[in-house]
Amino acid sequence: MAGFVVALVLLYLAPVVLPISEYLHNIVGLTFMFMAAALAWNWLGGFVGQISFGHSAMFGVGGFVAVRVTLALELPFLVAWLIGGLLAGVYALLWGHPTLRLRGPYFSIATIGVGEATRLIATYWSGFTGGSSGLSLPLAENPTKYELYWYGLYLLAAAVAISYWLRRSRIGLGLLAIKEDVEAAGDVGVNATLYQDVVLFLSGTVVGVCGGFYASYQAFIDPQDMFSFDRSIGFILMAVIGGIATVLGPIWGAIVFVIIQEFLLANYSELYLGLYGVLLILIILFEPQGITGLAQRLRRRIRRPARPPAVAATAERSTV
Amino acid sequence: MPIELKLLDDTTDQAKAVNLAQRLITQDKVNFFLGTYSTALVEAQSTVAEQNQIPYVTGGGAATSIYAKGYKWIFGTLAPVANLADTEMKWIAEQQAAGAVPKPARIALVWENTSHGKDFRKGVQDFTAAHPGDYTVVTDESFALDGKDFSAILSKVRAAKADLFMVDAHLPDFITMQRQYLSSNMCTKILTYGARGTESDAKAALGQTGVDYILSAVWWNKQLGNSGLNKEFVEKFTAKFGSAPEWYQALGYEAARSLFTAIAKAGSVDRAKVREQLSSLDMDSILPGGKLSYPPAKGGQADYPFVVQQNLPDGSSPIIYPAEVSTGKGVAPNPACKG
Repeated sequence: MAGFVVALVLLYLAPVVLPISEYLHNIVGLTFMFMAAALAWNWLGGFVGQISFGHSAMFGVGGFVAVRVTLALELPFLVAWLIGGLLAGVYALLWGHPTLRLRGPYFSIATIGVGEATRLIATYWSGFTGGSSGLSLPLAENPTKYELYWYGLYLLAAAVAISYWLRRSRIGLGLLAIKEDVEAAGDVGVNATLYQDVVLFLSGTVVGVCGGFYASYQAFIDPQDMFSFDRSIGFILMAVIGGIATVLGPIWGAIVFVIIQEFLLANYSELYLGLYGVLLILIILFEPQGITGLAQRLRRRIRRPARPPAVAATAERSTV
Repeated sequence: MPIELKLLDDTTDQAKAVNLAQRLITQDKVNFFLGTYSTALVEAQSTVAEQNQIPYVTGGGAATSIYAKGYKWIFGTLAPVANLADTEMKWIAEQQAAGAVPKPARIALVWENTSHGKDFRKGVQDFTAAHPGDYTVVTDESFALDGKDFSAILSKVRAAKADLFMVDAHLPDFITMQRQYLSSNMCTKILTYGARGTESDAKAALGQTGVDYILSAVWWNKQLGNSGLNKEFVEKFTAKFGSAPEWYQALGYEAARSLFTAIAKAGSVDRAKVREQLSSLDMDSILPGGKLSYPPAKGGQADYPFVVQQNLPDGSSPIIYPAEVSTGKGVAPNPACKG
């Protein structure tokens, strides 16, 4: 926890102290948001084991509600993000409460349907979303990308805190039990429906707030981008690359995701999608725990004391 | 003044378009910015240009909504899509007066659900409202960009027994819809997809008979002139790329040329000075009307007449309207329709 606080303070002060370019500053701010969204996805996909391909639905709902609230009520952007996030959480419950009864691939297939249906509804609901033309935010009242760096950091801090809480609390233990065997968890008194609903609501809310942040960052959003299937896949990739079901893994996954995207985006615009695919295959085959698993393995290897030759030989014989 | 062009591909992805614009401006420190193609992407990129106060000249965004936000740093070479619909309707009105199109004519109006499509719809609606009794809109349907299946819309159009099938679509949707239109044996007296129809990609995908008699109104065509600026542009382009330019390339060319003209007039790369020059620009152009300006009253969007073309079975696409620049005669009703 101390390391987490130190990292936060350093990241908070970094733009003031270090000569960071404006471009890097903006990209890091956006990366904080991706980290928070990936962590939020991981609460459901990693901790509960319910892989969602439809989280772009909450991202889009949060973004569009935040923009509409800003335009109609002229509320401060933070309040608008929060309202967007809460409505995204409610929307997640709306489809999630019935579908969370499904397990494994059945739930995942259902989320694909939810994501695509939401995208189509949003595209045709032009009175609310602007249709394919999207919505613009008034630039004068919008926070600058420079300011958004710190708001992104707050968002990340909140997501990390919730991740730790979920993992270490009674709910976290309940989620582990649900992931292993939902019926057995029910037999020992874990209210699987309630726990899953709580996690889905939290996950949807934080992803929705991230959608509001993204809307402010872009100052223009349209349904094709906000609700895209690629976006849902992006959340999954970040979690898988970093270490699915780990507390902080998705953070490292988001960093890799953004670095690949930014380095290859400009000159090899189609190559980076292929690279994600290759990375995903390598991780699934050789390191299912992603970067976190790899780091843990390396740490164990470094810390392992060298064994005396006689002991090693005895151990070898005993395994034959 | 030496000019370095940094060219990046946004793969028609809105998030990438914004990220790349930001990268060009904040990291590569470009002085000026030539925009992307298609309304949604231009709309997204224009916010980046406005936030960074950098002149942004685009040859790829025609919707009036882009220029109605009060932004000061965006300039568009594409005239409004409503003008496009209006010009097509004027040619159709001539055919109606000549008895080639029924009166009242039944219009099936199908538009992509974007600012672009809404402008087209408005152009048709304004024209029909100004000519009461001459037209009846029997179908008024929208579709989402990048559609895969238009069969439901086409069924409605067929059931409505439309005489005029008037669609506004971008190239991929045009090709998909026209393929489904042909495969369901539909045939309307007049068929248009707005600005689409003459593209070589469409002919390659649908075959010559698949695009015969399609009406289109475009911002530029090489038949507009065989002298002066037009001749120079067509010759240079053909020599460099081995094929004649279409309106897409012409509008990009004019976007760049107007920016360079403004830089030359400003005598520096000072962004504010170049923006002022773009605002007051009035230069000779290859576009219809022969002039290009970015009137502040229209939010920096150029305003000039369109030309109407029609694909003919011999592979040509003459300009058929307006008469003063026409290079051929249009055909109505569609002779391919039986009965």
